[in-house]
Amino acid sequence: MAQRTNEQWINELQTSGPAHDAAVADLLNILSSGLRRGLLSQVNTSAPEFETQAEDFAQEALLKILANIKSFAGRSKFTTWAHKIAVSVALTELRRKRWQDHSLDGMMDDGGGDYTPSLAADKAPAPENAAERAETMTHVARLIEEALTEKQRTALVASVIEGATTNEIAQKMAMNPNAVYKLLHDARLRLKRSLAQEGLTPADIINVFR
Amino acid sequence: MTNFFDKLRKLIQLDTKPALETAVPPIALTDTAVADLMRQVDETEADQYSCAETSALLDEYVELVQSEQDAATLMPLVERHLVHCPNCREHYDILLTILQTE
Ligand SMILES: [Zn+2]
Repeated sequence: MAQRTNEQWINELQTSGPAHDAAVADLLNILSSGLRRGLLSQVNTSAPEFETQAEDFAQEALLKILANIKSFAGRSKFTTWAHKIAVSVALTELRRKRWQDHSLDGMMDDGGGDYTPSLAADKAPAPENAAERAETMTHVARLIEEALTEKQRTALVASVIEGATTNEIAQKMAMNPNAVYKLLHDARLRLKRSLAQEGLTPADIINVFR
Repeated sequence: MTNFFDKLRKLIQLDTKPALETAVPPIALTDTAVADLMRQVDETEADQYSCAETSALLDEYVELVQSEQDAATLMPLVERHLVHCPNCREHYDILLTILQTE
């Protein structure tokens, strides 16, 4: 396979004729081989459909790469940028499938979240400052109700109280996971600002629960 | 600490607004949930990167990591986002594996 500089990749992919065809074929090889290596730990790579799947992802990525080639800023190797797009294509598809499988399993073993609602910890003997804790909690609940938009509240409650992951919330709210990430970020920022307006900091509240 | 509770009590006394018209289900917070939330809130900064901003720089970031440069210092906002966002982290991990097995 010919070694190409970034400039050569860009030029050859944008011309027509044999140089273009060779660059496309090489890039497809590079991307599907990369996906096979990169996804080894993510999917059952011994499944017979995996080979075809990696090629399908590479094909789809190629179309995106060609459509967005003008946005390549040259801050990395062209192939790294192209791999990034291929992985994004593959992850979008695999996450969609994970969800389908997840629903088929009847929402049994979720395993995805790193959050475990620790009810056990809350059953410990009542701490000395139980009254202060209750007061503080009431205040935080009120902030969540009053300072946030309905969407922000829905996402935040799912995240904090139900321990849902960003992907689970995205599914539930029919939103894209990146948008949920942003929604949660904005919700936390609003809480931080509301606290600040009251002259409080998150650390003040954490201290009560120590 | 006393100061904190004085503030809080004043705030709660101010909270004598009529109940919201639409019934909002009560928020069933626990001690742990509040503490976790406040830790997250504490770490939230206005200038944090979004997934899109992170993704735009991910190829550059991953090359820094691969060439053993101090990516976290050179691109701190990307590093910060990756710590907090499992989806972008997964994207990053796979991309790094691809480069490292080239
Ligand atoms: Zn992200």
